[in-house]
Amino acid sequence: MVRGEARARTNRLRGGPPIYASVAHDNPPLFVTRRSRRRRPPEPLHLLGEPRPSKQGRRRSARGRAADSHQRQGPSRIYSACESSSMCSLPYHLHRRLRLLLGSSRARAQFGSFEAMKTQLSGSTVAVQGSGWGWLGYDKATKSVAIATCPNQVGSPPCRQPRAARRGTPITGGRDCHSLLWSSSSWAACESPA
Amino acid sequence: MPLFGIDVWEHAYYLDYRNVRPDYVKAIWGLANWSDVAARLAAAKK
Repeated sequence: MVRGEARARTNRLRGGPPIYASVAHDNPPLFVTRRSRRRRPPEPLHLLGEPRPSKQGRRRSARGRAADSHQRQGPSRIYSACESSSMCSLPYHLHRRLRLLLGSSRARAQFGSFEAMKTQLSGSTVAVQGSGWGWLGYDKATKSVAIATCPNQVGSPPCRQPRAARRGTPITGGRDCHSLLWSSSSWAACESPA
Repeated sequence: MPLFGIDVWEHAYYLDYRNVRPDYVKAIWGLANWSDVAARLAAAKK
């Protein structure tokens, strides 16, 4: 008697559920399943240097279909593919925010994806020498979302952040920012007694 | 128009992250309120 067969027989007499695992382990099937026997059509021949013909008749994975749509229609198709499948780690509501945030095609072309934008902003912010700020701003002149950094140190190079962002921050570094600070100071408030 | 800012002055992160600034910046993304950022962007576009 094959090992495991006695246990399966006892279990069957007792009315218990069948033990598939031990039977499958001890007695491997001698036949192949219908799915694995299915033959794929041969791939069409192509010459070297020419574009590879499409593999028709073959089931494509979700990642492969998304990559194809990315090649055909640009990175904007990736977002909708992410929303309809589970291959992306971002939740659905963050993708909606992403589409709002990167609404213009120019911004999409600049960053590529939400993760790329975060990586770029993180890298720029970490690379700030000394203390400072990392900014995500909207440049009205170019109508695009831009990344900028601002080292808050006297004598540092001029700010590379958008002009509107410099105007909006109370304390910023660089020559341009300091000149704006002087022009926006309220000298009347300084002269009045506390 | 500023939409989202990350403060990398030492007083912002030194107590919790010491001098490991990348960990602080990485943790920022879990706290970001993208609803506010999207609202600021919509206001800036007008």
